[in-house]
Amino acid sequence: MEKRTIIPATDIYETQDSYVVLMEMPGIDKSTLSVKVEDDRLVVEASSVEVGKEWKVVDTEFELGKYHREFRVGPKVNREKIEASYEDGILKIVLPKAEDFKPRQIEVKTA
Amino acid sequence: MMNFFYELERMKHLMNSLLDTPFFWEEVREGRLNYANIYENESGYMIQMLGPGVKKENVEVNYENDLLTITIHKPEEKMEDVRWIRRERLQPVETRSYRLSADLDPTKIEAKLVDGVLLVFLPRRAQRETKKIDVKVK
Repeated sequence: MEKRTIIPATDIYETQDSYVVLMEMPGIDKSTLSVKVEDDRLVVEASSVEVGKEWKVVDTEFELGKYHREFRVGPKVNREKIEASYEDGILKIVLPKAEDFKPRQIEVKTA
Repeated sequence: MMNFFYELERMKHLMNSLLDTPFFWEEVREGRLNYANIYENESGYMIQMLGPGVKKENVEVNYENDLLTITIHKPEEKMEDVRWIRRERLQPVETRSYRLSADLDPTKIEAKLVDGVLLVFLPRRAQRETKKIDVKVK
């Protein structure tokens, strides 16, 4: 049966140095997890672990399947340093801000 | 007379249930993740629930008077000094109870939390021998 594609619920916040993306992807097969930057898109994909064939379904209230979501990555992100980690069903992607866009004090020169 | 607001609410619910991702996130945020899948095999039942971000200490599984209660508490996330750009995740706080049938063995209930998925196993009792009792009629 074709797996259904799920758009994972996502929180995004900004700190002084980076943007942090938290994606809910419970029960994934870690070998299928892929996080990549293509052109200006951040693409996240994974498949969830299936319940063993010996289990018959009695009642279904949610479905697991393939996760897929894309975000646009602007010029404010340092793409070389994007990091991702997976823990307790949450994929955390840290996108550090590019040096050029970090807040800085501009010295005022006097003649 | 048709209640316009009622119809609107009903429409929102319908839209949310039709799509993979809720159409009205604010609506859903008020609600809570409340979903469970139940599976069965020869040895017993398995309840599957989602708790992304949930740790072992946030989960309580209790059995009392034939009632199995599963509670998932909200995990503590320290988020100070951040600016939220997008918030879609729901609160995984919930309690659900199931009345267990007598052929399940409550002493052998097991719970496992793997990558934000809670699995509760409810094994059946070992097959009991049927005993024939002669009824004496005086």
